[in-house]
Amino acid sequence: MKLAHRTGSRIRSPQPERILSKSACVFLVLLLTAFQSAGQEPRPSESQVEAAYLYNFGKFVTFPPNRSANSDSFQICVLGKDPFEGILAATVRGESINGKKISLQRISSVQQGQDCSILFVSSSEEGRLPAILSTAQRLSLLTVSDMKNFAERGGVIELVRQQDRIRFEVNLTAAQESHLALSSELLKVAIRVLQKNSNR
Amino acid sequence: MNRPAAFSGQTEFKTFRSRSAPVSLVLTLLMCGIHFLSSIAYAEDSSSDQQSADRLKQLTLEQLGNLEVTTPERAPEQVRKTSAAIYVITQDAIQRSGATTIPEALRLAPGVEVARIDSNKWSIGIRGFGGRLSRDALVLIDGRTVYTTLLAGTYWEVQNVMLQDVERIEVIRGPGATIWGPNALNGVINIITKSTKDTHGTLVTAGGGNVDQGFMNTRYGGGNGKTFDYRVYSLGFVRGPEYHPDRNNYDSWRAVQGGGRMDFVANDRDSFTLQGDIYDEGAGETVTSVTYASPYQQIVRGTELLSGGNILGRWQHTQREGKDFQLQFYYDRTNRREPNFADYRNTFDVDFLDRFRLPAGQQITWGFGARASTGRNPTIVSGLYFIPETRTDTLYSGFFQDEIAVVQNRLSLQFGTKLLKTNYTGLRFQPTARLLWMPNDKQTLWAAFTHALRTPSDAERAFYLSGFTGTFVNGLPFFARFNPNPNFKSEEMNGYEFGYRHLLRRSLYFDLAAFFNHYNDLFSEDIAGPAFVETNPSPPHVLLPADFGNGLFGTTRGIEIAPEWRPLPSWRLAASYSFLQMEISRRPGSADVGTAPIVEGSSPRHQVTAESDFDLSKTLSLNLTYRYVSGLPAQMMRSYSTGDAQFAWQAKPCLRFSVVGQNLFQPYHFEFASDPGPNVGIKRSVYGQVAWQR
Repeated sequence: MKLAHRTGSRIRSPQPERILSKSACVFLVLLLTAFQSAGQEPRPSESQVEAAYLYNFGKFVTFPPNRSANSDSFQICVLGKDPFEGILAATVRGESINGKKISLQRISSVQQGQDCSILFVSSSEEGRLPAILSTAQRLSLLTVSDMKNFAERGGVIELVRQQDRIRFEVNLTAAQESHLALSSELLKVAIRVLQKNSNR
Repeated sequence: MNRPAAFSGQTEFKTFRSRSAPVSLVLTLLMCGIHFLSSIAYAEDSSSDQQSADRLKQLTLEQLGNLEVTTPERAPEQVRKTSAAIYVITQDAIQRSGATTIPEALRLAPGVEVARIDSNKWSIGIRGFGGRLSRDALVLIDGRTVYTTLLAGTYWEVQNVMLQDVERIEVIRGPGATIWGPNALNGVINIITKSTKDTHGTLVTAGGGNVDQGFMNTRYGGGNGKTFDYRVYSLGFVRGPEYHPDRNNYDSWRAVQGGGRMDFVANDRDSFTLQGDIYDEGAGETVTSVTYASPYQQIVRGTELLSGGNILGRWQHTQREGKDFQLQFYYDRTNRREPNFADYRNTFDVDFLDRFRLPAGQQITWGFGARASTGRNPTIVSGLYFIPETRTDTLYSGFFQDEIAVVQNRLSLQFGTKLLKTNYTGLRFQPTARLLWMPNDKQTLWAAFTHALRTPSDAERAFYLSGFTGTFVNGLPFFARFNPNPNFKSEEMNGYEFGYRHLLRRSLYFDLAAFFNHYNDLFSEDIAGPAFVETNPSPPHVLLPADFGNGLFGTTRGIEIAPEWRPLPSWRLAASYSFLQMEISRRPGSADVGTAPIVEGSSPRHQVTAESDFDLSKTLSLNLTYRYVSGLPAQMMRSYSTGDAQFAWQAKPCLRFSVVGQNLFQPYHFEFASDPGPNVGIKRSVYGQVAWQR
């Protein structure tokens, strides 16, 4: 019964793996050269899209009047370990919001965020989140982060990865408590709007 | 149904020495990679960064949300924080592999042995103990256990899911943590489909080739993306036979299946899921049919007639982060009719899981569940029957787990226990202790101890399985029969594990796991007494009584290494090496007939996989996989190397064409011997596929 198998397995061309892999290699390189010239436009990275969001959010938020007078630039601040590595700088270069030039600032403590408008909270700060959020609320900062459950824990905007896409959730109650007015357009695009149910 | 190995006369075996072919291939691939790199100028300079930033910031919020981004160049957060050997097969990896079934997709995971027996059957094991039913691995689809208590294990041929709707497959090697169900002795395979929020629109894929002759999947999904979403799907395929030296092409396979899912978010706190499937299949096979009347033994060619369905409901309630509970219920109907055996089964299951936080960074998870599975197994041939014919298996389980953050985000300790009681066992504990240390954001070290068990099933406790061995000297037919063994106990193991993960660079990731498992009371095939003349069942015959015992013990040890590298944003390389050493012995005094070498010799000692996923341009991708599996002495299988390739063209955002070649290195190769008759060769195959989505 097992004889058939033994004879079967002897019929084997000499080292087919090597021949195949060599031809595959040539094939690959040919393909590559063909398409390199065609101009390759790879997918953006997560950080690139998040940076574009950070820039965009500023257009949909109205800050309390006493705040916006403080400074003549619109500051986007990154608190903690900067995950953008220059991408955010490239995104906001030369841009302005409501006539104010955007500037970037990296801060290591939320106390340094007095002149910030948007505060990106790096995931390195997860352990200190409650303290950060309560200060940010007092300073009326638009807090944004991609850490998990950021909105549920009281952050204003949470960037959420859904499959291959980056989307966002909004905690409307947190925004209101920070005296931030979010445009309806922003809320419409959000995949989820968290809100304390006042009816209950 | 296939007979246990001891009856198929495989006592003699021969080892085959593996050749160095895989090594040379890996070298060639490596050279190939270097060639690639040298031919590519790193395009990631600052000017192109600026260009893409300028382009992206012009987009509206809505457009940004629809942009597809590259997969993160790090392990997902939950993987990094898991104190178990977990490997996640993503949707992207499934699509790129060209796999058409769950078992084929599982080949991507390290430490998992997948051997195709024929067109519709596999032998799958995790860290050893491979077999047609994977009896030591727990398999779940969206929280529904598909492990059957009938013969202990999973019938892979009825676990079809629409692969495009799978979000991910989590493969946990080693005894699962406490929260997993019973019988997760050597691993857990957790198949999770996408939320209906992510499957809006119409998707139709269709294709065919020389072995996967024709298939079509359709799905339609809709909803408002926030509170109510749904999808319905259907799938169907015809798969042709694999290579049969004797041209007895018995293993064709056809299936149709349909189903759907609804997700309903009632408010901030409560969400509900309702889902179900219904299927009908025919899977060709040959079985050994044994009868006490002449002709005693025949190899019968027939078709497994498989049908069934399930419905599952789940309620999730989230009070706040870290405080939530989940209640789940499902019903499953299984109809299985084989030429020598049948099973008609209703399974009801309810599970509750609750989590809350305690001061000092403690996260408590606890839960309980109950299952009742009633099966009817009418006798079809006299050599194979269950007594009683209709039985109900019950299972009550509970678990408790405490995860203590000793140092926030750095060091955590987890301990807990699973509690289990079935109709065949008393109350049993399965404790675990796990330590997780993340010295920095890039490295993770973990270690675990677990005591786990595989509970007895109807196979050992209610099953009569006969084999015909010849004619006795007095002219009477001579049979051997496994009778139920009321003393069959759970198989037990103590597992010691260790793991290390390191994100070396943004683009280079490395995962290592090592284990030492000690087993006791392992399944054996025992002679239960001297041969005698039996008159009932008639006609009179000589019978050698046997039963399934707990006569084996032993150890397994091994290591799995899985590096992943993205030399370019558009190019992903992944590889794995799995080493396994099994030492299984017969306990002194056991009457086992020689199962130990069969268990030992049915799992590969070395496995190597390599994948290259390359996006040639925005619309073209080329994906290559290579695998080497060392020989299986007990199955008389040589080592083999083979590879798959997929070339895909996204012609339009809604239209994708792909060509997939599988097992390309040789016209056919052998992976596992289990069917009666000559071994079945797994063919080189090619199929084309069109996917339309909008």
